[in-house]
Amino acid sequence: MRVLMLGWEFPPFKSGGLGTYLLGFTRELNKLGVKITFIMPYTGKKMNYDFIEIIQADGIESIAIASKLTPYASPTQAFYNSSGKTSTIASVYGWGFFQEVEYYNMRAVQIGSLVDCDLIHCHDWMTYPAGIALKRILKKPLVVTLHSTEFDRTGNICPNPLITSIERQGLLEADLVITVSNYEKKQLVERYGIPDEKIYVVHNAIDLDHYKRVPIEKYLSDKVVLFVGRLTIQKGCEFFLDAAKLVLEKVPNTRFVIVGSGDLMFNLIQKSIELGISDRVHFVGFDPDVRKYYSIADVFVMPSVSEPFGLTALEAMACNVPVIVSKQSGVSEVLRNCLKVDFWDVNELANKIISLLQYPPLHIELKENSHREIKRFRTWRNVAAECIELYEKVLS
Amino acid sequence: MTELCFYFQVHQPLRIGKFTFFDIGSGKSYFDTERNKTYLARVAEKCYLPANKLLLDLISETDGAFKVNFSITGVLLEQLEAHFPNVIETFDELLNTKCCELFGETYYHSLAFLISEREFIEQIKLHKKALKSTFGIKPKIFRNTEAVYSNKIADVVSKLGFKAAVTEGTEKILGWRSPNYLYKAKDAPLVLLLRNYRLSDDIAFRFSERSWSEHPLTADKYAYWLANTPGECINIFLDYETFGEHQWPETGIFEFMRHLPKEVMKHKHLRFSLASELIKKIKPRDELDVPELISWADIDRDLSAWLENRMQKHAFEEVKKIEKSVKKSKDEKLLHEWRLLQTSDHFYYMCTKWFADGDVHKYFNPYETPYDAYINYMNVLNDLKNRLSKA
Repeated sequence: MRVLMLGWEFPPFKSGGLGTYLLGFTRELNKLGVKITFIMPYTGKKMNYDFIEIIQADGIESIAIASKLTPYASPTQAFYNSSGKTSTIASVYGWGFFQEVEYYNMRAVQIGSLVDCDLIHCHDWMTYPAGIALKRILKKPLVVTLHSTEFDRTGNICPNPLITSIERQGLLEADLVITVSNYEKKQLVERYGIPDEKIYVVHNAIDLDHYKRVPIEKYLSDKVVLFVGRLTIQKGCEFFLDAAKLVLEKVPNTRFVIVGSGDLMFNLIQKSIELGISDRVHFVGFDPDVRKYYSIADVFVMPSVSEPFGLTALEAMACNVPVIVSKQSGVSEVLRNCLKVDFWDVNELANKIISLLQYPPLHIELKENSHREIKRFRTWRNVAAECIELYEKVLS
Repeated sequence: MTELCFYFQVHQPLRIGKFTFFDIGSGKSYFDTERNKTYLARVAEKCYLPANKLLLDLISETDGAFKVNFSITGVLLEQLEAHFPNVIETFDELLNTKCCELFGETYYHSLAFLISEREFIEQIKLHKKALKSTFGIKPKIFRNTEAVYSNKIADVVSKLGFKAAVTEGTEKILGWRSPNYLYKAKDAPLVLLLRNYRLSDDIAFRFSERSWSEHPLTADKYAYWLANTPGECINIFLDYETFGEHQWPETGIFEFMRHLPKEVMKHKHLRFSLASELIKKIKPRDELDVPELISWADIDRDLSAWLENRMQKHAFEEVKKIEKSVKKSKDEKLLHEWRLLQTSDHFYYMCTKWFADGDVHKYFNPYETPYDAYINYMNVLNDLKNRLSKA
């Protein structure tokens, strides 16, 4: 089976969970006999993988815009490439971002129309227009995977109507829609009016060979509570800070570590100062390898406002860290051995963090049981196999 | 003649309300009165009232040939008296027929035996007192929480004047022997009635199980099984909530029970019995040595549903530790609340064994996860310890 796949990031170029997903997923797809041609934006770097053919579509300013393409578009949003340098779309492009997306789609159509394939598989909205065009040109079925919606990314505060309309269009035109949780499926049905029977849930997986504790010296005896994620409304970091304030009143020798960056970083630093806890909150910025933070953490918190899945929760569990996740997440529907809170319930979040810090039997029990659970969790092989079944369904 | 002993356990815990770390020291009350009342209203309406009515009808229709045994925990009696005295009245009516017997147990449905012998005895006496004042009766048969039993327990309860005790008819203690005879305790003058778990669970668990080869279970079929079971007595012990709660009315559980006595009586050698009559009619055939604690719970038939993981053991150790200081405080409210925290259900909610019994663990469980159960419990216990330090 030959699949033409469109996506906007692939490791080492990634800004979030999607890159992680695509690497694990395509490698296993290939092992199961699927030949993949992958078109992504130009990165300026050679990517040689033996399990996937990657074509980087040149951009308007090919090299200058390398890997700057990000789905988290807002005029002031900071974003990062793998070299860790930051820049803003506004400063580089002004409003040219959508133009760049448009250009990527145009080039993807030109390149894709020459590819011999059985079906087209698109990941997230930035690739949907090209997917729709290629479906018509190649007369092949279109499968789209929706990893997150504009409503998720904005926490439902002023979603960009242009993006939501592209998302809706892609979902409507697709012959089959895959999404990562029942939580997200419900969103697609309710917010986009997509027919229930067209949407299939394939939950994410974890690569246990990569996600494990790494040797690292922890010099401070203080307990560490960890947040990992982009600093955007979606990820709910402000609730993490509010909870931190409450926790510190009861357990002063605690430190709160925030890994990630994003357009709210300034506001969050400001907030930690206003709360009077800035000496206990550590913003470490974006780091492509988060394992070292998991390795020193005592509690991992994912307080997302709306999280289609939430791979970081699995990563933390794999690294032996007890996890608290928001109920507004896909991952909470597949995990048993974790603590769950409503993202807005800061008191309860603090209650759970304190309990994990103060009641050792809870900490040990949760750590052991969640580790056992994650060892038996689905692998990317399961994800790939389930997708192949769906490919076959759409081809028959 | 084969004696049939039907015994129903009646209990609802006083569940703890949401109590966070920030509530410690605030004076907030521990128990969620409204939620408990809501649950109780539901059980009363779906189970206690219709089932009591049914049993009363059956007794009068059979001219007293149908007989039934109960035990009702003190924690439940207290709640019923406060909110649903009409339920108490219906139990009273059943007792007045003389075709109904009440067993004794620990007032708080607790594992008090593991706290201390003294505490165990005090709670049994409290329950005796409650039965006396509510129904004017004195129990002769003992049923420990979840049928927990050992030689040591036999020794203690026989000294309290109990003639017999009920426990699980598990192979662990029986070996090749049958549960369908009476046994006696080792080194204590106490008769043992052993639960026939196969025939009991046919009703309790399998009744509505569509994948079960015997589904649907009808009264005539069940009576036929009873008639063809060898032995001198068959003990069918169930949670009373089986009627209408564990098994919904739609499963036909009430219809099953309605027809059972008359189907049973078609077999001339079967006879319903009160437990205290039964131990006069037949003699123990053998002695049972039970050095380790057993129970009727889950598939393990031990205490692992309450005291297996670290959270359960820690919480129990913590509540046990403060016995002396609680009693020294002479604070009646504190003592009562400390005892309410011993109710076994609190520990059951912390259970992390996820197997076939998971569904039973979920029954009216106020917590999403066992971890939440532990967190809430420990916060409350810390509040109690805080009060104790100031008492």
